[in-house]
Amino acid sequence: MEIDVDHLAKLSNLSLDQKQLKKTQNDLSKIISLINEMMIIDTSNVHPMAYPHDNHQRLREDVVTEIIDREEMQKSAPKQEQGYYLVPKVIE
Amino acid sequence: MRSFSTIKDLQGLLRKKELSSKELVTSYLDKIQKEDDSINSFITIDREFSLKQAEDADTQIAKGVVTPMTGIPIAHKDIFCTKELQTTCGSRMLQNFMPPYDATVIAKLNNSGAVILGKTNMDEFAMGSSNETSFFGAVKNPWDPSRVPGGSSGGSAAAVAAGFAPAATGTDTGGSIRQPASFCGLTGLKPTYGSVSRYGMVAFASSLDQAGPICRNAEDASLLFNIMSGFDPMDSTSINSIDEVAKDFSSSQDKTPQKITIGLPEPYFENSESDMGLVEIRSQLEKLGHRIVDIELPNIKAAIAAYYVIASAEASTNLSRYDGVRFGYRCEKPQSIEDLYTRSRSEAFGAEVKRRILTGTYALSVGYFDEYYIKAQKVRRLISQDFKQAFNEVDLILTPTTPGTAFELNSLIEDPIKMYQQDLYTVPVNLAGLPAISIPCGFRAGMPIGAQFIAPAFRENTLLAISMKIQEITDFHQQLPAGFS
Repeated sequence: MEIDVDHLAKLSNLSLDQKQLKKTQNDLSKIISLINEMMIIDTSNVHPMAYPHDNHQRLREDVVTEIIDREEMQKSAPKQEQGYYLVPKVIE
Repeated sequence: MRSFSTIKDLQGLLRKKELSSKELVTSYLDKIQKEDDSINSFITIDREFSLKQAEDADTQIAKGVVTPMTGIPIAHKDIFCTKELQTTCGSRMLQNFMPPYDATVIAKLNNSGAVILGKTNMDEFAMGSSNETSFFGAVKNPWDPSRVPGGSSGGSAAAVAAGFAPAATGTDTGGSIRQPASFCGLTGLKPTYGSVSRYGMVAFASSLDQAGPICRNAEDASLLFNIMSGFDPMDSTSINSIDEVAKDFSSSQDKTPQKITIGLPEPYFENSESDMGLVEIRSQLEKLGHRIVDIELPNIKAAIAAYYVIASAEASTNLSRYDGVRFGYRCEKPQSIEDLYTRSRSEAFGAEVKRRILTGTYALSVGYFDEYYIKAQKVRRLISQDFKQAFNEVDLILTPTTPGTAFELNSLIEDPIKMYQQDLYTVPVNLAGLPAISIPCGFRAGMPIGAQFIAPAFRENTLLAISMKIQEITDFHQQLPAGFS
């Protein structure tokens, strides 16, 4: 099966060189064949299961539970200035 | 031999004041410094940080304020955020990441008085079954350094097996606690989904990830599990009811199941190369008076396929947060915002992580979503129902943990399919969100093998009780790797 790895890489914001592209193409085809093993299972009338314990997500009161210190959080940013994250110019 | 002590042994030494926590932690740190080069089980050691915690513990001990963990050193998988202690997740992406907060698991252990010994090596973003995908190099198995320790919690398992720590934390998305525990001759518990908080644990596949302990025996595992588990409002999938079950266990260890029924899913083993110790463990169980019956899990053959769709889809979504902007690696001189995203991710993610992101993106892309992702979720329900059905008849299910002993380094890393198939016995448990334990059950050609017990949700107590019973009458868990003992 031919998989458009170029397209997938674009969707994932990843770039692959020619060699990686070829290897990935090959690997993904094998992975998809492995995945296709589940197609023999009859799943008609089965409801998809997203989480192990079919519970509804818990709700809580809409109150402040923690104060996030901006400076503390932004310490991890590779480039920041005066509380802003720096990125290349987006709008000309 | 102190380095191969259990937590229980060390508690005794600290209580009797035969040594201080500072002396204990120093002796482990010295051993790591001297011997870890040969197996590469740690990524980060911060002596000052650990000794400060040990001194605090000694102050508490002097005051007589002690918990079972006060002053006990623990190694943590480098997937848990540790405040002011570098947390890499085995990736170049987080090579310099200094978390501004502690994961709940870390906070709970810190609050109990445990000392952080260091952060252990792991497969990059926990994606791997051999610990060979780490940006910080492969980890080697202390039982035979030409072999892998398993993954993704390979550093945690190798460190405990080598006597660098009495116990370690790990995480398990598809077998990442149980498989390395099995490969390294240790006891590893993967708790019920929702029983241990995921807050501050770097996300791989959020509907499957669960943290747990890797220890020298089941008694220590129960001690750590009781501290690590419990409801946490910071994790939206944390379960409220676990507290009762956990307390139930710690308060009455004699609630050992007297005679229980254990299911052996026979057809599941047709492709197994060997019996992987099941013959031995079966006779031990019968000696203890338990009944073994054959059971069927008809849809289990599709588990690996469904797992790799779901885990990859969730991974591709979770890892979209790494963009070179807010934290993590950022490429040099980005030309545009697209260039910043693409180069930061391409330069900092390794091959296996990229492979999973691309697989997940494929399964979630237009035209394939229903065919793959929804189909996998339906298969997941059928597998979960198979277990429920089986647990109407039996109390526990027994399987090997892995299809073979620890394999040679570099033998499977180029073949993702063969690598993925290593998880045959472990992934169904994550899909169903059940608890399972791997305990040592023998040796094959000098390498440890593990048996896996699977229980209904929140029945960790049964898993731990039966494991302790088996460990009373066997000594597989007390064997030590020759190169380190």
